[in-house]
Amino acid sequence: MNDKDFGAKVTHILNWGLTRIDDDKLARLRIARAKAMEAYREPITVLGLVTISGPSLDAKYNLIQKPLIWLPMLALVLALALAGANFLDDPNADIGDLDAALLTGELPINAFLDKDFDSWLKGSE
Amino acid sequence: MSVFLASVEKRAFKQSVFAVRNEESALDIVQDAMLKLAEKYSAKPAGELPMLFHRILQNTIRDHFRRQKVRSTWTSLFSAFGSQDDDDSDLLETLVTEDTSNISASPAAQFEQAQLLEIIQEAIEGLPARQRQAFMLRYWEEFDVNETALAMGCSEGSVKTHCSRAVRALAFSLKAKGITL
Repeated sequence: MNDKDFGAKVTHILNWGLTRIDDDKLARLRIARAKAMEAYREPITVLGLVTISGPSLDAKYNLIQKPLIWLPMLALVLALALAGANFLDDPNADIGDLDAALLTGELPINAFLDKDFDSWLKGSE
Repeated sequence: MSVFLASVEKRAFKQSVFAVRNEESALDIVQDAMLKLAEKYSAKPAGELPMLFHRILQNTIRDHFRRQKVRSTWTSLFSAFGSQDDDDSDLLETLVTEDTSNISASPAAQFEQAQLLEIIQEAIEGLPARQRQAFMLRYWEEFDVNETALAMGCSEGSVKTHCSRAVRALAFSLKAKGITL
């Protein structure tokens, strides 16, 4: 007889033994199962990204979901970086600064003029 | 989840009894294992539940022995395993006469069957823990080698070795009592 056949014969008798478990033990097992089911919460999946389960509704992420959690954060960082770059490239921002310095400073307006350009212009005439 | 727990609770109870040799402790262990599974692994696919449950069950049995060892260290000089309070508990001592099994019909045959069951259970209890666990998972729970290895937290080779040794030990133990299956 091989191991599998031997195992099958033993477990056949063990299964018969299951029918001989006391009624009070079976009742205790039923109560235990009911208690476990009280703690059980049907898992909820939010937007396919997060699975919430357990009595305290803990959020759990699988291997595919974990990287997806960072996508909104990455998008936010990119958006902020682009907005910053646009602000620096904005020519109106430079003119605004120049106007403010011109109006509030004590320097004459000639100090803000491009003298090199003037000299180049005179030279070209 | 409920259907799964209902399908596995009796065998889990008996496996715990084989391990701790005390029905009250075994009931507590099964309850703890069910609770842990329902609380922490409800999001797992149904196919993974048997393997997870048995892993939890074995860990809970191990925790039981650890607690017992700590308790007995403080309360007595006896070893943890020697202090089990199972003196008055004879496994399956109560006979249920309205048995519906088709194994045997006559009272004499049923008595014989009950004796055989008791001998087999004693032999299983006498197995080393890992061999018993491997045997139970492979043949009673009908796990394959890979599932058994995952549930036991060991390699597939170890599972095969444990199972083979368990079968040899059981066959030897039964043969010593004049029983050949």
